Amino acid sequence: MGAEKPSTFSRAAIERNPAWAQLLGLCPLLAVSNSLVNAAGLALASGFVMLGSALTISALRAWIPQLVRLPCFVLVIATFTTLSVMLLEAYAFELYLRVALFVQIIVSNCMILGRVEAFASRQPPMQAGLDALGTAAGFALALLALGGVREALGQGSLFAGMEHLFGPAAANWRIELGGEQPLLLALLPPGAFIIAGVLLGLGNAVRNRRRAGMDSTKTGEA
Amino acid sequence: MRTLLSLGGIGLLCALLLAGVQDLTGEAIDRNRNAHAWRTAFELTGKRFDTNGLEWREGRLRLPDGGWLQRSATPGYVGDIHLLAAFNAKGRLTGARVVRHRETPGLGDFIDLDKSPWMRRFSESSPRAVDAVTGATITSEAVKRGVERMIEAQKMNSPSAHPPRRLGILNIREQRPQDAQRGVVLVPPQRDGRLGTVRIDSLVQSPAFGIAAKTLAH
Repeated sequence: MGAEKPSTFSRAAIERNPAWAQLLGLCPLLAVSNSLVNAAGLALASGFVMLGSALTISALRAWIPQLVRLPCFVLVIATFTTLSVMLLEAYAFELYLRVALFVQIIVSNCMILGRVEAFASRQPPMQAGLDALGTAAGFALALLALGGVREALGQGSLFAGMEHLFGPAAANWRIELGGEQPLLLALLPPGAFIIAGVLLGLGNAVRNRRRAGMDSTKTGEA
Repeated sequence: MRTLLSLGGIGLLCALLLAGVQDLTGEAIDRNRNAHAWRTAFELTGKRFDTNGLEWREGRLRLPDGGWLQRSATPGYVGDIHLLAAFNAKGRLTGARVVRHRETPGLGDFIDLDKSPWMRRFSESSPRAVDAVTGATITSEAVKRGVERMIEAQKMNSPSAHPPRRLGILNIREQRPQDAQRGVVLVPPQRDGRLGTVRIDSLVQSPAFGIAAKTLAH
């Protein structure tokens, strides 16, 4: 994890953050991020599918014919999506009730297909796994950031309903932010776009500054 | 040939994986689904009962105490709103719940019991007397209509109601008052203020037309 050359993981999670840098997987990102618990649920499920598909495809890459690689990828991703739905329904039923619809459409999340096609199908499982974890972490980061802001603005709370994901002990994680009238817009789809845009802008600013800091020829660009 | 083999191989692998996990989780999933359905049912009827041997038939589930549960769907603002209602042995509605919906979060999701106690009002008063929620008129009216329809359907299905009659097409202007008083012909007001021709047997089920029938009887 040298500072000079970012590792596969951090490159996938930050420099090439699927949501903020590559603008991939925005549909589930915008649709599910109306509270932290939903965001966390989808992040976990997406991460599972991402990692499972990347490892499988990387391990099988020698046997996947170039011509039909996309059907193969989609088949593997669909399999892992179905697995994640089954696992959720079996072991996290409350959460399943809330996010099932969006977990099912992970299969068409181009973030996963994109990473599998561009990376996992050309790299050994170790690298592919790291890249998948990084991508998943980056996606989770984006989801949680958006989910946190939207829940705080729209419901005036944070971590509400976490017991659906982490068991009864998490019931008192809920933080009431108080404040007056919650901003309903934040919970609705237009709010998701606006907040995502603002966060995207902030992300770009941070990345630009980071790049400027790394590059010695460019000086202090805000 | 090689392509075919590898495609088949990958398909087989995926199928095995799915079958394996299905085998592993199938029982837990069934348990969860049942438990969830029964939790709603217990909560709705206000009592626990033995669930062995009970099964749904045509959207209806008879309970050991003579009452029953009724499922139905009604078009909401976004897709269908799925309702579950409980009737007691006398055929009175004791409560209704929304089990599945896709209404706008923040505006239309007050029909979820964990968001708002609104649905509880149906156990206290008739659907018509339940107030709609500001900003979500379509959602409110959809649920009210859905519940009302279930009540109406139950009245029609109960043995005391008139047996459904196939009267064919009838011009309502020529309808005799005694037919209306028997509740056989219920007519929607037409947009231009005139009454049209309707198929009688298909309208009897519909509670939304009760008012029109009253007007006609006068």
